[in-house]
Amino acid sequence: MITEFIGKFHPLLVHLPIGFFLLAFVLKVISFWKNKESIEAILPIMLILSFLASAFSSLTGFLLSQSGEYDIEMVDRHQWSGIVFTVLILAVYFFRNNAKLGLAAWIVSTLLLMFVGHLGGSLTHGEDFLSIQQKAEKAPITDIQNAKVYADLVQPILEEKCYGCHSSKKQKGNLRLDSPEYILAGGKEGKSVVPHNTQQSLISKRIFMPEGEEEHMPPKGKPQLTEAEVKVLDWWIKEGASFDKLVKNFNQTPEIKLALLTFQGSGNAAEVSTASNIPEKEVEKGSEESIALLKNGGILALPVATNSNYLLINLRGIEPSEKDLGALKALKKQIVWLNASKIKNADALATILQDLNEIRVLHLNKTNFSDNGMAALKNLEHLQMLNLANTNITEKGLENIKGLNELRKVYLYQSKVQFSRLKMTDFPKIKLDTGGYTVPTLVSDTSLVKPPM
Amino acid sequence: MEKILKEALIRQLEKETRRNFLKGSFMGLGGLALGSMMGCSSGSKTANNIFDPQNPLAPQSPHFAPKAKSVIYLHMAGAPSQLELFDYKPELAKLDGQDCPQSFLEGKKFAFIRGVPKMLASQAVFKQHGQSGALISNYLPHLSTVADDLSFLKAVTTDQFNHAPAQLLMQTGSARLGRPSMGSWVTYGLGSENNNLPAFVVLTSGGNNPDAGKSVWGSGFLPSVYQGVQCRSEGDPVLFIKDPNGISRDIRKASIDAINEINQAEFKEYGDPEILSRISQYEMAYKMQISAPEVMNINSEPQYIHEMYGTKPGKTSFANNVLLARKLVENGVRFVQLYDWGWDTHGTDAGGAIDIGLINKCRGVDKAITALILDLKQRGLLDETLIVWGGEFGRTPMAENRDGKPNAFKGRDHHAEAFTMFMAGGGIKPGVSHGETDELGYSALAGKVNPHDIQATIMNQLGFDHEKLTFDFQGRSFRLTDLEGKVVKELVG
Repeated sequence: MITEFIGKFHPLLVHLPIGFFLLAFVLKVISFWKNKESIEAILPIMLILSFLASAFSSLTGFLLSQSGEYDIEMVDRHQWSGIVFTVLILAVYFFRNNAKLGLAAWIVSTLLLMFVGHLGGSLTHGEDFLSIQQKAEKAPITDIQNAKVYADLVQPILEEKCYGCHSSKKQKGNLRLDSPEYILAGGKEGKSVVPHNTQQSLISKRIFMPEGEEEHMPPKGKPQLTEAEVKVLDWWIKEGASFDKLVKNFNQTPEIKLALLTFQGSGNAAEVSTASNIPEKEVEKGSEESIALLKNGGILALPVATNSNYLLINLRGIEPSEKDLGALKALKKQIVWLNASKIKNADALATILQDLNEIRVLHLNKTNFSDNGMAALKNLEHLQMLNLANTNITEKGLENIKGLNELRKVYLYQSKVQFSRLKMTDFPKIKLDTGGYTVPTLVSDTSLVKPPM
Repeated sequence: MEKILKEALIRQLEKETRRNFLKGSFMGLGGLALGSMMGCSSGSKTANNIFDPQNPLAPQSPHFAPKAKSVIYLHMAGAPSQLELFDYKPELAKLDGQDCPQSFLEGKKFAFIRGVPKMLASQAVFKQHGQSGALISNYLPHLSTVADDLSFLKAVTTDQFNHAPAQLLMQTGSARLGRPSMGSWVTYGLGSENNNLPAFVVLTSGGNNPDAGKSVWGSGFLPSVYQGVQCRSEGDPVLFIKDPNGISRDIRKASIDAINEINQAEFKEYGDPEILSRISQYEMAYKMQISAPEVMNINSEPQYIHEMYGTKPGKTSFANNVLLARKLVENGVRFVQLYDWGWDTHGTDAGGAIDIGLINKCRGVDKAITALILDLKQRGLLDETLIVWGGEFGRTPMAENRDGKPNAFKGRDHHAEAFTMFMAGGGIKPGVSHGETDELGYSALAGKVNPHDIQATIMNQLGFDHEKLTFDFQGRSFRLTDLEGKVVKELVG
């Protein structure tokens, strides 16, 4: 235990011999020009210090290597070159008065010091830490359903969040996660993955533990898995931890589908989007021309999200021209959200509404929209929310939306609908909000409590 | 590619010429003081910063499809007592008047409590309301009627027990000054849908600004165009909104155009994005002269609406601000931040007594908040408007004993370990109660939520991955939730 603790000081202590010895070397070089005598007087002390520091570093290094968290081969090379360096310091010390041998010892040991240092750096920071080139970026996943579950989703997660301690560099808990064989082999605490059984799979157990717990992975302070990543890892194990299947070959709950969507587009996982008011299937880009036309007229036409081609349209109370209507129609596959409130001639808009059958949310409030236009809504099979507050709609117009299966909410505040004639049971799935709410004025609302006299 | 070019352009512009350097040196201290007074800092702009300096308020898409389009944040400055409003603790009543257990006091720090205080029972009467069975006290008779629209966070914790830092933490993600407020981040990320109104409006009531001052709606290191615009609910909504006597609209327009031309030239020379902020603020001011008086005037609302909200036009009140908030959201304002001052119920005087002053404070907000929820709902706007209610921390289950002596009235000290907040609308699952405190309401047992989690949740509803909305400043990427924040999944429908 205590030896392991002492071993942890190795990465700190190694800098002492490096500093001591390099300083001694620099002084030695300077001594060829000036201050020869005074430098030769202090060099022995510096060399002895270098030797002691180096010996102690080697010792702590040996203790650290016993933790078994490092690649054995690399440790071996680092260890022996370090020991040779320590011995070489002695050689420098004893041959310091011999011009030829002394100089050779100086040069060899300095070069060896750099070599040892580099090996040590590779052990702590990874083998490729000293390179100018950036790692090649992965191509983003364009179609999640055709992505490989392991190669495209699971492996990148492991690489980003787990390889730091569980791969060729380090094997904490004797666990490696950088190849299918290692993953299935597990570590010293047990199997990391038991296909189909998340209860027995240590990966599932550890990532689902509360972050404060000792055994939670990744450890406190290290970059954590996002919610979507946790779900996908767990789902992969539950579905049998296959290393070659595609996403579409796995069972997918709606929850997983949402989590999976966050992997699409950009290379890394985003926070799960819980908003599902855009269709699952991605659509082709809408006509740039039409979008530009709308924008020039002051109409807001914006993708609903940065990685989506679906559009949100806000007329901002601006009366759409004939051309605008044409542009809206041209974008019928893309428009999922339309706010037409406060426009003057909403019935004119109705002529193109029937084509916009991807619409999820439609605000027609504060317009003259009437029963004439309602027929156009019959085809909007994906409509979820319809705002008809402050319109000329009557109960007759509502007949048109009875068949809309996805419609959940309709707002009818200050419309012309006579609620007494409306049978709510005709709209089993739809919440018709009649509005007209009041908040009574209580005596207490306008009086104050006074302190006792 | 385009971003790189833009960055290169800005870099080039920022290159200091000798003249610029000398000028800068002369302006030195004065410039520094001016800069900090105006809360500006240009910072370095890199490809990570998403705004277009030529048009900083252009509408932008969030990361994923949003549930909420706008936010009305009702901040009760001073921190209301959760034990009198939402967190029902019958066990606490049994211990009323007894000494506080040592386990509550060991190693703890309080703002005013000294020695061993007495436990203090809730002064309110609780009942379950609606189908969700939400516990709401008789201090809020109106809000109880819309219980099923609300979702409670019962175990909010913070790490600050003084007003100003706690308010900053809640609103800017850091207890120290200098970070942009939530509304600024949202405006930075989404731009504005309305060209004639600010995207981020602040309304205050209760007689005072919040303790943390205007920094709670400041833009920090973001360009100052994103800071909250404080409006008044009495008289002109914005000072000097009318043209001065003798100045016609045309002259005003011409003079603003001239100023902006000079500013443009200045920008070409120095490339400081703050100059663009100033230009767009001038333009915004001019446009606001037209639309603000109309939108910001609650007089034009019908009588029944005034009755519903309990508003009295012409005076500054929380209710007036709430009604104004609805109108602003209706007109495309993204983020409306309300601060109501006066919830700091220590019990040192009657106004700060939990059985006197607190009741009166509740009466000032209860009807208006209820009306806001119902009014947004009937207008079809509640689904896309997120309402957030809360203070900066909670209050102790112990009675305050300032200087070791019992206070003159019943009051509670600041308490950072557990308090209640609620959200409604904006895609939040209604009727949920998340989190639990111990039987005395002292500490959070389950479902702990901290200010960063609340911020993450709000950003999530607006379509943002809170970890990805960042701004590069002084060599590192900053975000609202700093290095923390988890979306409260239990509330996100």
